[in-house]
Amino acid sequence: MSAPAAASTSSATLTLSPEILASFKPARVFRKHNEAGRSFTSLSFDDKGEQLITAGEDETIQLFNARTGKHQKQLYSKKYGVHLTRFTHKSSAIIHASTKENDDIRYLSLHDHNYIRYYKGHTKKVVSLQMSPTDDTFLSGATDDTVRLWDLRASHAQGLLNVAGHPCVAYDPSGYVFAVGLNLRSTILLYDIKNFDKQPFLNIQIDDPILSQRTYPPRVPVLTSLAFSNDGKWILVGTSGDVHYVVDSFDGHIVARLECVPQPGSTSPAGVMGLERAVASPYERPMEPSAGLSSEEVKWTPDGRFVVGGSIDGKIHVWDVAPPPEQRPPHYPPPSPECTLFPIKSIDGHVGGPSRAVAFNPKTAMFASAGNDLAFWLPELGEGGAPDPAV
Amino acid sequence: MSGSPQRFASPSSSSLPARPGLAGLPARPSPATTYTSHARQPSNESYRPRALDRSPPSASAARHSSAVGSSTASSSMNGASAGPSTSARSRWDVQATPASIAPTAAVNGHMSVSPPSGPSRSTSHLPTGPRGRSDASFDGRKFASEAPSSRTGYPSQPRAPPSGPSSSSLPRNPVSIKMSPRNSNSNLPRLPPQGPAAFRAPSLAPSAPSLDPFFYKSLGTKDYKVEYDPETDPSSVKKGKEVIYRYDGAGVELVEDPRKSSSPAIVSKLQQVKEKAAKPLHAVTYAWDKNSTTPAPPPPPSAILVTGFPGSTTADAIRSFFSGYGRIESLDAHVDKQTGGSLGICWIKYVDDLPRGLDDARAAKEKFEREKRNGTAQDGNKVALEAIARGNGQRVGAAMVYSNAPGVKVQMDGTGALSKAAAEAEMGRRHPAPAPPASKPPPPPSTATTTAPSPPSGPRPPPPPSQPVPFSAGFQQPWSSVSSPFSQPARTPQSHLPSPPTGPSSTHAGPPPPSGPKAMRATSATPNGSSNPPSASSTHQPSHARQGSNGPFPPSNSYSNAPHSHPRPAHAPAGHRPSGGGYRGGQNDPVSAAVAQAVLAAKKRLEEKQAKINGEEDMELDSDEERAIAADTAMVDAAQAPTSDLKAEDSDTGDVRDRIFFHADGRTEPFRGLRRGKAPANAIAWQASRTVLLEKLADNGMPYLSISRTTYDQQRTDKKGKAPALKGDDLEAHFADFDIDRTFADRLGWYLTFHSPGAAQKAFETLHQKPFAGAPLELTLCAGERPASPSAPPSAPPAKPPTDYDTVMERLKANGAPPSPKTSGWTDAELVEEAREIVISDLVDAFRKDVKDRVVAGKITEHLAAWEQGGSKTSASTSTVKEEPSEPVSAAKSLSSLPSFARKKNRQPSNGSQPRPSLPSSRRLSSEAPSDSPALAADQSDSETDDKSRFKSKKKHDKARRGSSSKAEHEERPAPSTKRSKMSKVRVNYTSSEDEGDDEAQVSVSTCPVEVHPALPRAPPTTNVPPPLSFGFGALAAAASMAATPPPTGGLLFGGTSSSAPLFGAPPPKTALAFGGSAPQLAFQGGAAPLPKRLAKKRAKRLAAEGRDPYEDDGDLDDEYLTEKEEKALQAAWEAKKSRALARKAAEKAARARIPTSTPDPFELGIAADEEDLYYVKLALQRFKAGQNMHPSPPPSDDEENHPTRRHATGSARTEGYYHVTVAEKLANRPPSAKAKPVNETGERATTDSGVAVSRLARANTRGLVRGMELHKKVTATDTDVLKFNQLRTRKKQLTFSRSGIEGYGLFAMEQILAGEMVIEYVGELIRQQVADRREKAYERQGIGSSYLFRVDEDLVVDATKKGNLGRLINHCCVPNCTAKIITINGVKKIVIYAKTNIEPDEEVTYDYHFAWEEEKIPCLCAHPLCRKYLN
Repeated sequence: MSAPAAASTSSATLTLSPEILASFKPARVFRKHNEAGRSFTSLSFDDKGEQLITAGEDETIQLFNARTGKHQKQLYSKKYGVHLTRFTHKSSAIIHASTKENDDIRYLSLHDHNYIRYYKGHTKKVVSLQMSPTDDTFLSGATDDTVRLWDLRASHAQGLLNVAGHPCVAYDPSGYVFAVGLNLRSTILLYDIKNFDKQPFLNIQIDDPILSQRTYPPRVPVLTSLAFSNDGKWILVGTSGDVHYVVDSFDGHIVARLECVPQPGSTSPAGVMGLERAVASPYERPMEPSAGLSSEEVKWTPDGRFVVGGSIDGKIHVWDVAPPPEQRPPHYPPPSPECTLFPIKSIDGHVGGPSRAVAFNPKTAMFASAGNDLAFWLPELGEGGAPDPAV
Repeated sequence: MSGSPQRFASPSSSSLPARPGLAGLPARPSPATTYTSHARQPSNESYRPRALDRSPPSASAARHSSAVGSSTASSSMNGASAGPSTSARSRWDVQATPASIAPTAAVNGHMSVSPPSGPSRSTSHLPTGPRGRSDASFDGRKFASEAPSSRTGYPSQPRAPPSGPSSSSLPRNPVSIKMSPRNSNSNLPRLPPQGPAAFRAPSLAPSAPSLDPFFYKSLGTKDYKVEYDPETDPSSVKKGKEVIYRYDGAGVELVEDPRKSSSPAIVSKLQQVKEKAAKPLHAVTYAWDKNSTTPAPPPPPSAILVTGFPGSTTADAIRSFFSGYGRIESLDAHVDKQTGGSLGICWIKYVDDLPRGLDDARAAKEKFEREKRNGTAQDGNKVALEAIARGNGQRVGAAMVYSNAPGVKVQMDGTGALSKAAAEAEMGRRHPAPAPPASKPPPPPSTATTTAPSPPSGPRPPPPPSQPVPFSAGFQQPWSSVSSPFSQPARTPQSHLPSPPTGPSSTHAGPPPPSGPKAMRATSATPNGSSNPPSASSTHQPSHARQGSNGPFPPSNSYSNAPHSHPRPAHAPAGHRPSGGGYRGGQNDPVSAAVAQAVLAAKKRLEEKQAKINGEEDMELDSDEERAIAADTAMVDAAQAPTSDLKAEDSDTGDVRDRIFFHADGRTEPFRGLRRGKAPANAIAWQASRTVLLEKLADNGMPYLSISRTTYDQQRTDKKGKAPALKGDDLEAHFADFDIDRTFADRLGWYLTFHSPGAAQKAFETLHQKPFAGAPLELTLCAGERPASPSAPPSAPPAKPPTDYDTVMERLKANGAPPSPKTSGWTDAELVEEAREIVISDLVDAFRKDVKDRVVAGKITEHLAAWEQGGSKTSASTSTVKEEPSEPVSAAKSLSSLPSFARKKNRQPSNGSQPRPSLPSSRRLSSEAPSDSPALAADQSDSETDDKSRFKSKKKHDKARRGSSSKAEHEERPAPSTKRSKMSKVRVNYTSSEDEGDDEAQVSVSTCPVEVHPALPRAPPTTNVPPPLSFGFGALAAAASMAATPPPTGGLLFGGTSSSAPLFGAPPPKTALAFGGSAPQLAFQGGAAPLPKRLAKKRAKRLAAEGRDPYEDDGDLDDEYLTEKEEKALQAAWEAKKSRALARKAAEKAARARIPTSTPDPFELGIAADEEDLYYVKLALQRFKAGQNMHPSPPPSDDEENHPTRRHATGSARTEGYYHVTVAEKLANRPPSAKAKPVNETGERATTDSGVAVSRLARANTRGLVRGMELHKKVTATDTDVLKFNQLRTRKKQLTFSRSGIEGYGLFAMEQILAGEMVIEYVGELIRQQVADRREKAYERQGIGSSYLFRVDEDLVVDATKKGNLGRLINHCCVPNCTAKIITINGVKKIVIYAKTNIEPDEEVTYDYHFAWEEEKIPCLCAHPLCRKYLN
């Protein structure tokens, strides 16, 4: 055996570039850590990028070491079900939403598998959950049309927002601002964390002119996730449809539409990507995603430049959303609601199912994607290839 | 009381330190410094006094704020924290609800200035202030209860005297604004303040200009934020047990983006965020495990390479030495394969027992550890490492031990690759590679017809002295400078490589072709020497050089270097010497030289044409030109390579493109042109390419295989009948094992060259008579230098020309173009002549076919049909020419309206300079019926076909203008001299051909299609044709000009000598040529599609204006000098005329076909079966002559024929199913107005009154609900579609349906509907797409013509066909008054029609169907002025 585990050349660093992003390949595929046919539903890295926690439809929580690519621990949450696992700022504890029993959010200590606290308040399923990047508060959005702000130390909500429709929430990386996306109206509301109960200070309407060109009436996709880029400049608006949006987080303008290239021979004007079409038959498809497949599948890279997204066909798409001006490729469309970006790379990822969750490691150049299996992706740093060691 | 400030601070959750002295101390820390996110300016004058009525502490706070800067005054949060004074709050209340609170405020007004109240407020901020805390629960509801006690009456005291010493000096008090954030009325959480507008306005305007009024919360819910929670209070001493909430942002004045604030904390935080994001990521790699996607890495190496021992050291000695480190799995001592001695290289692999598997890793590892302890297992890698560490430098074996050798060298070599490489290197060192086999110098050629094969490697021998000198010194001179065999050894490395001779063995992977894109073009570029860049020529030279200066030149390569600017082949330098002449030797074959010259000349011409074409942008010209060029090219190509197999080689630039020159079957088709006329040249050219082949074979130098094609083909056909063509690739694959170099082919067989000398022999032995693709291959092994033709010796070319030659000749004869008798030598002119004839004959064919297929046949059938229907009602029967048969006329008329068919010009050849009275022929007149009044007829016809002809002529005209070399843009500019010279050249052609009595069409062809347009119109002025003639060329286009210059003589239809008679039946050659002459035009017209018609039309219109003038001047055409404008006009006219004449001819032909004019036997012809028939035929003919219809038209039928109602073909409507109503019928039957029709006869609507009554009732019933909704809207400031839908559903709009002016039934409003109101919901069954598809088909089958399917989304469709409401009757309008929206109510999508504009009663309700664009158009009947004409 060669060097045991973690050949983590911690000294070697790299800056993400389109070449590196395009060179990502699955380095690890975990197939035996979930029940067959039951998908992983959410992924979360801890702050240091060392551990990955997953939630699955089989009501297990898996803990992986992201540095070594090894499975560490399996925890069950059979009683409550598990969804939206999120690391707190301590890598020994997570919060997660429930799928059974009630709709509490649960604070779980990993090392002893004890629930520290239940956060009670939501009356319907929680569909969006995020820890504050700066402190021990977190936000949750649920299908009871409320957004709640919590503190890890208190089991009752520290704030409540009544919204119309199922919200998805996201924290600004500075922690001063959070965004609430309303799928019903394709609206994103930006709130000051200190005064959110008053009113949002910015109201962003996602009005996609392309959609209305394609069909009449336009089939507006349902917003299922929001994410601020790490530099705080952009908001990634994930939908369950075939298009995601990138919005300027300061002025609210749509900067880009993210689509994938349609399959050759397909009649649809856009590539098929959205996850929700798999769940419900079209007739029964609800307008609001009731904790459907979507919401975990599009993520920023830590540098806030690329977006990595899963899709219904299991592919992993990589968009170059915000290239710095000097690296901007020629013919890069200027930011506008019509600016449609196609993936710089679409990698065949998960076979036989959607890639439901994607998470990019905040510290290392790897990401994880999950569908019916879990994959750790690493760039293939070839000889003389893409990577340029930054330091 | 430490809890107090904490509680107060929490509304803003500020990071302020405790503010004990907040109100009273002038030097207190300013809250504004931390809360500067709001830039509010209390600019309202009316508000300012309220600040002034404050107590002194407040004023001091105000002063402070102003010091900070009013523009960045502290925010509402500041206000909340800094001044939660009751008076301030009460002021806010006043502001917020002036109506209700103002009176009491007025009463309480002076309380604010009363001394006791001031201190009390100020002390409320102090930690010790019990009162401040008591009332400051910050719950609006609580506050409301105690508010009256401390309320100040702002409105009553707007100008209250300042109670503080310094407050008067302060113009503004921002604090006072900020201090008012208590909304005491919790029942109206979102009620917008209705105080002075200026107060509220600035607060919202800058903060959220784009803020929607939607807050997205349902009625009665409240947002909250926890102000204080003991659970989250980190301090051990809790401030209270209760959680303190703040509801709906109470106390917050305005919300701004905190990220945009300039607070240092926030700025630094944002900076941190950015830096964090910019941090590079760590790179990790994962060690391989079972989850890895990559295959397992190879185990660590456990083998070593031992070198450096002498040959005398035995393998056993090495083994015994190295087995000391561990068990050896295998040992490989490399030996010299030639001598058997040791190479001094040994590879040793140790046994590796370490388990590598992952599955049972633990057990295996334990076992391994156990065994290792026992000594029965070893880790191979460790052992190898040890061997390297310890064995290096050791002396192994006795021989070494006792020598002074430095000891062995041991290195890791896990796979043995190192050792192999070392062994090979050692072998190479010991036995240097044998020199590549030197080839024998070739024997001198025995005949002059073959080239000297050059040796493949090494210095080339000097050319044999016996070789003839084919060229004169003048030719040789330039060549000798470059053709020395040694002068450029390295110019084309691949052609000089000693071995292999040329290029890589894979012939497909040859060096990139050096020539430009043009050279790659298939046919036209082939002879185009100019397209070869210099690199091509440079790569060629070595191949010539190889031949020595005296060596014959390959026929194809030499001219490819030729710059095309050389005027004559005779003067051409050797660099582009004639291709045909070189190889034959000038002295012994003059024919070949002549051919070569001709070829070169033809090439030159083609190049010129090509250049000309390139200069022109006209697509049509191009296409036309390319036809001619292709013909020429084919000819030239064929001249060079009649054995078409070698054509590729010829067209390529020889060595430079190492390709397979292999074509399974000779491509005869492109070369038809040449074979037709040039049999002897054929043989010579074949010989030439044969020479090239031989040269290629000689280049290889190795023995090669030749395969007889004839025998092979014969065997194949014997076996299988018609066998499929053989593919070169297959053959190559067949020989793939034998290191073939290249494959060649010619008519006689295939030739395979090999890389190595023995390969040919081997292949011969292996594959001789072995079947290949169905037949045994007859291989012939040939020596390297002299290719032996498989069936015929190269010196004896097949005497028989290609078999199709004869047939072609026959065809040519039949076409009236006699084969040229010239067989020896070709001049430029002859070649051109030949080409022309070929082209003409082709064009004649094409045209004839075209006329037959496209014009005559169609017209005949069409006319027949018309005739049979009861006589043509064309105006022809009543035209001025009574005796004219109606049929040709109508045919001609319809022909003249054919869009894409050129009309033949009417032109007659003038006899020398003799002015010939020419007449613009009237195409209205057939040959049988010459017109007495041609001018009139022409006039008429002109008026009929004016547009078309103008269109055509202008198009041409324009083209000609663009094509002309002068590119004159000015209309009035006279033609420049260059043009004149060109014209004169044209004239020479023209007149000479005239003198020869040729047909003019020949001229047009001989001058080549490019020149047709510029040249012909210019001909009149340059030839001494008098004005009438020139007019005859172009006049017919304009009737005005006809009148201006009446023709000298009348009645000449086709003008001049060409009588009308020979036009029919089998056209004699002349006529055929005339047709042929215009065939290019036809091709033109046919190919005119690429030209955007609209553009052409526009152009035509534009030019129509200018084109008219010259005709008016035509009358005084006494000047030979035509302005360009005139020329153009003339040309256009000529074109138009020509096309017209063509059309007429076709018509006449049609007439001819229809009506036998001679006196044939009617019985024989089948016209009449018996006498009775004959009688009726005669009768019909009489009628015909009298200008009536042949068939007597039946008397006009009475009533029922004209009855508009349709008749049922089956006799019963029930059995008919349904009738398809056409658009025209719909249009005809639609009501005149779009108003709703009265329901009953009396004109009043019965439904109206009841509808109104119902509406009133409904209104009454739902009034309360509506009010509640309005209230809710006000309260929540929400105005969603959902709400609107719900609201409007309560009272339906009064609608009715009636016959619509648009189509069928429509929906009409019966009351006024305001814009934005909901009109109706489109109700129907919600079905899936698949169901909808099926239903649509079913409905169609049932004859339900209207579609009531409304798509909701990509999967759902609302089908209102069977179940629905009035909404389905709404018609489409391109400018509708409603719009359809899809809204989601309780998760169900609904289609709701909303009014877009105000809809008046009786107005039809319409919306835009928004059909997707489709090829198949649905016409729109909305009749709106802005109608788009189609729904889709």
